[in-house]
Amino acid sequence: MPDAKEIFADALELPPDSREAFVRARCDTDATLAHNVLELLRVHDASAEFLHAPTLSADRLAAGDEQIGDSLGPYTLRALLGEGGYGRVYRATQREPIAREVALKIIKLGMDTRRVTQRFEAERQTLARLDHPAVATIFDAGSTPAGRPYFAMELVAGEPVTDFAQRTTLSLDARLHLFISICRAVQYCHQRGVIHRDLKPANILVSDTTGAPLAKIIDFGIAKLVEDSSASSLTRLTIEGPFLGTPEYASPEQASGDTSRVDTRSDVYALGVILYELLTGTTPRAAAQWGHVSYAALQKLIAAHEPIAPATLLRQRNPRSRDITRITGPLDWITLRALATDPAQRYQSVADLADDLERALAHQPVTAAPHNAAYRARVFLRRNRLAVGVASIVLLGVLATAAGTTYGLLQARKQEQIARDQLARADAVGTVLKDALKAITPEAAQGRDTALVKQLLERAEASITDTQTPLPATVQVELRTTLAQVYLSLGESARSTTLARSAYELATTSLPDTDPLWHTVTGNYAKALAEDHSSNLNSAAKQEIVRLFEEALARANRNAPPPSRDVAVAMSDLAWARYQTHRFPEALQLLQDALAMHDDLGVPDLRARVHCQWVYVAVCIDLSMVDEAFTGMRRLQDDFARLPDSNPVDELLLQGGVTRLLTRANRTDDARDIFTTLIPRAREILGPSHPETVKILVYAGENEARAGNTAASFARYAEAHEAALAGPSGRESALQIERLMTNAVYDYASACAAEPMARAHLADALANAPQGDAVVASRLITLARLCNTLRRWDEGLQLAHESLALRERLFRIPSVEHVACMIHIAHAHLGLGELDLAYVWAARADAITRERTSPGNPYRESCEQLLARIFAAQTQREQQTAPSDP
Amino acid sequence: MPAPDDANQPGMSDLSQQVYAQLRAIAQARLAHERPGHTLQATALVHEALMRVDRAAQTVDAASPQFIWAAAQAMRRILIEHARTRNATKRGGDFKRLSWSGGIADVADLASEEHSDKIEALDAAIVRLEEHDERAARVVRLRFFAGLSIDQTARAMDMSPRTAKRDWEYARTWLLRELRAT
Repeated sequence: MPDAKEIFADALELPPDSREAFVRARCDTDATLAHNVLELLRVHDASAEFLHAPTLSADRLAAGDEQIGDSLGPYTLRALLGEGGYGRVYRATQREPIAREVALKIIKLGMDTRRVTQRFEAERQTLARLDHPAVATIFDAGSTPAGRPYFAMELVAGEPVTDFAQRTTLSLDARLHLFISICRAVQYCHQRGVIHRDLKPANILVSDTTGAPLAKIIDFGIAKLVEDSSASSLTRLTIEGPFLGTPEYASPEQASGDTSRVDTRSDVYALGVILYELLTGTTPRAAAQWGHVSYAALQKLIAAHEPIAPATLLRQRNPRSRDITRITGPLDWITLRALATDPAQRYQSVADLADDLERALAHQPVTAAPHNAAYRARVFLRRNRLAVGVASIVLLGVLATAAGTTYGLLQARKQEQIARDQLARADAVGTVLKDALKAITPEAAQGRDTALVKQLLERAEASITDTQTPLPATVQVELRTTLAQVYLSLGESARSTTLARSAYELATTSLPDTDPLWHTVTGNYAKALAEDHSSNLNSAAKQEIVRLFEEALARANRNAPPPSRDVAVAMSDLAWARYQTHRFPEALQLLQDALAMHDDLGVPDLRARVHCQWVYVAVCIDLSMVDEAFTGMRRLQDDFARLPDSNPVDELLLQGGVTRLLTRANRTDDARDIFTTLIPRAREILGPSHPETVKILVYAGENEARAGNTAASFARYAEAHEAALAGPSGRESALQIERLMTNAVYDYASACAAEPMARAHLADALANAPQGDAVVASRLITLARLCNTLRRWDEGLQLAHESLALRERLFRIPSVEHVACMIHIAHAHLGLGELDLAYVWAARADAITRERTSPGNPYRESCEQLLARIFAAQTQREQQTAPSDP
Repeated sequence: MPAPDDANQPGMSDLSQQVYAQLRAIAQARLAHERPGHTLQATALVHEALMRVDRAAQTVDAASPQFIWAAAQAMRRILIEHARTRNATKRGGDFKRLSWSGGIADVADLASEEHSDKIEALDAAIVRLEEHDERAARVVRLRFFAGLSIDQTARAMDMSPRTAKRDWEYARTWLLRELRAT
């Protein structure tokens, strides 16, 4: 007798309508069995869902990929709202403690969940305090069974702000008002210490269900929780990429991956991108492609500097847009300022950005202004460092190939025509390379990180001197000379000398006497020798320079009989050499002759004349021919201004010369004025430890010493000393500065000696008038000045304050006496590095002086100088804090 | 217990992988409903569950039918213990009629909140089935707790797939009738 299971299983294998008959037939007379089996079959028919798929589906087994309908804590996932770099966002229902709909953001794997949730607990208070109608609230954090962190937050209906603006064709004014409301919400969070770090349209949702468009920012504070809790830097790199933000909206400091530099200004940048997008419909970085670039494209990249101004872009993309005129000007500036690469150049707060936009809407002047030239230049070079570098590498490659092909073909086939073509090509490429190399000298590469440049140069040098594929001698001479020039302008005089000498030696065997290249080769070698401090110590180098230029003058006389430009140039060169060897009278004679010859030339060579004039002025200065020097300098400045291709480095050197002249003429204040801008510029353009920068610092020190400001002079020498030690010629030039410093120390020492005397005088005055009187006030300020000289700023500050308090008590109406105190207070703050306070006091002093004195009053000048110094310090500080490698 | 000589059956080591995955899925489903704040322990608990199976695996070959069986038993215990502690905290002695009409496709479903009070009833039914048809009960346990397919179950029990399928369908139906009757 078969059992129930067998009959049941057999029946299941039959079509359903024949099962009952089959069961009854099989059970025969056993009605209980039949009933049992038939009941089982009925249950089976209705059991479709019961344990129907006990083998878990692959989806379900895939580690913890949450699915719609899954529950996470009190939340049940209902629908997928979006997916992004961080993970997924779901619409979910919360059951307890409150039944509500929430947005659940589940972060991708790769995070240390425990740390995310711990951080959330730590920040819960802060995040809970964010109660702003335009900021979505974060309710809770937890982790999924698979260990992923999730955040439950206010469910926001709406679409990304840029989509909304586009779809509803919002007017420019409405777009700006909406954007300002977003700024205010961000500002609100910043004031409570929360930075968003991932502002982008997808995180700013807008709806207009209530009429006016309302924005709501989501994810506030989440980026930090997640970033700080990435399991490890390795995981972050492999799983999340170098940074978590959205590249399009990430500020340069975020993109660099240095989260420590991220602050509220990073949000300003992201808002700038969004504003840009709202104005133009595209992001500024939309078309940055480094991947595949032709040389022409490279040049374009080199020419590009900052984001195209929104109005300009709009004009290109949509010339009939009515917004163009509205955006041109202030809105352009505002956007570009928010987008500055350097955070210090951006709006310092979102409030500032919003305020400026409101001013623009109200047609009031805005604080943003077109970038100044120096800033523009800096940005240009930062942005294009890579481009210039790439251009050089590309060219080096081409050059090597061309040269290799040439000689390979020469040997293999001896086809003269091909060889000649290839040679010409190598020559042409050599020229292009020369230009590219020149483009990376400080004249062009102002302030750029020179490490890459130097690396490139080494590569260039190797390929030029490569004996496997020798280049034609003339090409080699030219390239070596160019490289020597580049090294020289980078302050690498020893390397420069070596290369320049090899170029010169190669030239003597290969270059025709009439070749115009001779001038460059000789000049370069001589200049390198003069700059090379290691050889500067022996006079052999100087004698070599004189010999070189005597030879050059002879060549010029042979090939271009005087009066000619070439001879005039050779004469001034030789004069310069004699000047270097301190043969001043001979130098002066040659220069006077050369200048006369220049004037006789029908068509003056402006640049050559500038050079000649330059040396003439220098010689005049050293011979203390002050009047001649000033006359020469005026002519020099005139000529220089007329130069079509004046470059910033020459301008720096010229200004350095002017300051020296002013110092000699005892016009130390005028010189100081120039230094306040000259020194930062020299640091920026030449580099902080370039020999010319060191020289300028020494000039500044000399100027202060001449003016009797011993502390200031000492400080300048100290800066110069430090810079010289860090520079390529290190010890040798530092030694010279040490001598100068010793002199400054003597002055410093005299201030030390004066101090006890000043204290004794103060004590006398106090004994005479214990409550304080005008004499006490005056002696207090004397002592304050001494303390400042001795760089004991705290003491100086206190004494100056005491003096001021006393004077205010004695004379209620502010007088110039008060100004003196304020100047010393400001001075002390400046010394302490408290620039804001220094500015406040200096500005107060300045205001009173302007009110109470006539122009020319020495206090006025003091105030102006002080303010200038404060501004200079501010500029310097900004440069130091600015990211050096965005 | 099935015959140990099945140990070298091809595909058995894949099976143990599958068991691990199943175990993890169960633990996840089970833990998904913990209160927020407790959810942190999810990963730790998954590891704990896996360790139980590992302990079982130490005594037998990890790819053997014994291991699969041990794993199925470990899961059964985890589920039952969990259900007991939860039901103890949730409410005492509230006998309500359980609905078996739908929605329980697999063990993970059963482990989930909605069905958490059914696991004990199901297990009791399986025990009753065991008394009456041990082989069918074993098929259920392998299929249900270890997540084995029909073919895998057949291999693990050294029977033909057809037999395994027939046993499975019978056991499933029998259990449903039993559960509806109580």
